[in-house]
Amino acid sequence: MSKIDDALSKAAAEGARSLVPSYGADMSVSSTSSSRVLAPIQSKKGDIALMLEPKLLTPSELEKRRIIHPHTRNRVIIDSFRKLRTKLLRETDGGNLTIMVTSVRPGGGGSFTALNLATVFSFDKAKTALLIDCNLQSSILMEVLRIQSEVGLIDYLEDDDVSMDEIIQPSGIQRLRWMPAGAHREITQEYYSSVKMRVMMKALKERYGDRYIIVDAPPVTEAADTSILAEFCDYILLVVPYGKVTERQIEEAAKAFGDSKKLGVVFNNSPDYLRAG
Amino acid sequence: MPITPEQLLRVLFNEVIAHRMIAVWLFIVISLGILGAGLVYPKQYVAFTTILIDETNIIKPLTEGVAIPTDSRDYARVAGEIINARKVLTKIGLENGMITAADSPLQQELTRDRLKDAINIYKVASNLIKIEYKDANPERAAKVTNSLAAQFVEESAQAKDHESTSAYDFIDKQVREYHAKLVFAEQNLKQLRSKNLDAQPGSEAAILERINTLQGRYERSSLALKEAEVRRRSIKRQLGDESAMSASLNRQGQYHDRIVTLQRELDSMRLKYQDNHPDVVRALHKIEDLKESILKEEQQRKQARKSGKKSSQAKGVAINPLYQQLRSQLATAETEVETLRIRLTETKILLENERGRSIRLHESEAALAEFTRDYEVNQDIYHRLLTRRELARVSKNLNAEGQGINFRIQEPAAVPVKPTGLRFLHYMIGGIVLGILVPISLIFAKIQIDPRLRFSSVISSKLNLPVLVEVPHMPTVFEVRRARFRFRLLMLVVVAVLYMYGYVGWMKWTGSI
Repeated sequence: MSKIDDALSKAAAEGARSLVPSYGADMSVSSTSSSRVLAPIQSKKGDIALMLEPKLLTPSELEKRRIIHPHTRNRVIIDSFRKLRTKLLRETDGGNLTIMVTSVRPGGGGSFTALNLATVFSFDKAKTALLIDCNLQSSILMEVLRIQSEVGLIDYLEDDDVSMDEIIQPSGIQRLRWMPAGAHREITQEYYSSVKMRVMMKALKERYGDRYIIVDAPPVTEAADTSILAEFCDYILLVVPYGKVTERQIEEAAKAFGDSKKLGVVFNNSPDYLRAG
Repeated sequence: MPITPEQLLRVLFNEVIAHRMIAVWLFIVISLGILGAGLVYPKQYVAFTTILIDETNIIKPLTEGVAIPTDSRDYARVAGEIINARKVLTKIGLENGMITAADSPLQQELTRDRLKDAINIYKVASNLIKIEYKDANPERAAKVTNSLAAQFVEESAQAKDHESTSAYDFIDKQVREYHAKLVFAEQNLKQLRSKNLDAQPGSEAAILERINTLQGRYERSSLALKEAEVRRRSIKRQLGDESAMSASLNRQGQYHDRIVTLQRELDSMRLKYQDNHPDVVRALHKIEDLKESILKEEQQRKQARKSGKKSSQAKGVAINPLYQQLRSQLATAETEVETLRIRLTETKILLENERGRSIRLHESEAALAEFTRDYEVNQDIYHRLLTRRELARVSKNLNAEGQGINFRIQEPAAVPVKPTGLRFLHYMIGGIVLGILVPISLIFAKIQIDPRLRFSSVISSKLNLPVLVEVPHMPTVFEVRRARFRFRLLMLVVVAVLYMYGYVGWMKWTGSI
């Protein structure tokens, strides 16, 4: 990469920061506005621009965390995520989408794909994205984003005192909010099949028409709750890691969802040294 | 959709890059290993000698069909057998200082094995064999090869000599054995012949003829006897019917005849005369007289019978002549019967004798035939063996004279100048080629064997799942930098290896090593 590219990406990062003048202190404002939880709101372009963004991650920090940004030097990877976004947008008739991302096996890149997919949706200045971390057993997102959260999805489902606004948090990426998994729990199935979960998912989808919801689900072969989560989603992305799973494992994973859901495969981590140089 | 070669190549390339550390290490180990082997591996020099098998000689046409030359069609194999013998190898080893008296038996055996491996014998043409010997020392190679050839020629000459001598000895022994057998058979035959004098050629036919004659005579005699007996019986019967005394009967008859005649005369006279006619009365008286005479005669006969046979002769009682004749005939017939009986018995005895002789003759003939057969077979074999012995004698002399098959060293071994086998350049090329090919082949094999999926096309074609996108690996900046650093390092190592190759090659070229 040339120095010009470096300069451009730096300028872009700085520009992104200048769009959000206030940091830290304003976080409490958004978290306390619990009165608007269930009311569907049509946000305007200005609203999104005025979204409170605490400390945003710089491009180099993003690259360190394997998160794409509009000026990523690795064009192959950013193009592939843009292509994926385009293909997914074809599935919708203008509204938003709830997409579940699950890997065939642990370490298959499910969370990586979910995070970057959410990021690529949030590239559009008129749209926002919400990433829900459903990996209760081992949350990778928390490690990647390096955000220590007190409350999360489980706390919300368990405790009526916790409001939804409390658990939707800034991710450090512009226009991308995330919902951490919360306290570590062993058995998770009953939470996902609860009415509260159903209501929450419906609310999240209907509240902002321009918000894409990405659910980062645990690997389908490892957890039974993934298929329960699939019920709340419009589309399932099955992440197949290169050279790690057999055909049979993929077949079994696809079978777990049945034929009723739309399903697509993301072939992840395929080495392409020819194009990457 | 099957995996296209292009996809396969791309995956192979990516896998090789992904495993570049292992691949480069393998390259270094293999290429340097082969280079080192090329440096260390001693040069091998091959010395060779050719041996001509001289079959065409002057004597051959002369001895054709008479002497059987030592047959050795597969000379290369024969040569191998001779040279690889422990005796020859030990001798060669001792001559060339490879085996010393101080060596343990195991060491000696190992040296012999090494020698055996280094020797190569093969057929160049139908009458030319080549002996090769490989050694690190060219001079020693030539020396050993020459002594191998010399040993071979010497040993094969000895073997040939031994072979023909032993053949002669064997046949000679056989000849003597058969001679003894033949003598024994002859003696047997002689004994048998003297015991059975009848048993001469042709005697059987004579006996048969004689039997036939006797048989005929017997039958004829038997027939004549029967005839004589019949005749005798009939004469006897006739004799019984005829009475011995016939004369008186005749007189009575005469009386009766006269009575009848007189009666007839009387009857005719009574036609003419009265009964008192004298003629009639006379006739009547005569008849009366005759009747009286008859009565008298009868009485006389009765008396005669009572008094004896010959008593009445005088009184006209004669013996019957027919009876006499019959009696003489009977006597003749009885004599004949007796004679014939004796002859028949005699003939029968003779016939029995001849038959017995015939049986004895057959028995002795069977024994004779057996002895003769043995004798003839032995004789035949003996004659043939005699011929063979003479052939063997000629072959033996042929070998002794140095004729027959000859092994001649056609071309003695020279000190080889150029080493054989793989040259250093081959090692260099092989090292680099194998260094590149082996890791790639291993990775290729891994792709083929590993069931884990590496081709996205399989998901869409085989599993019928839509593949939305292929997301390549996303390295972090640090990873990219580290990968670049490592890549450069690996390239440096590869360049170092290549440089080493060049350096060693140059040194070799200029002859510094």
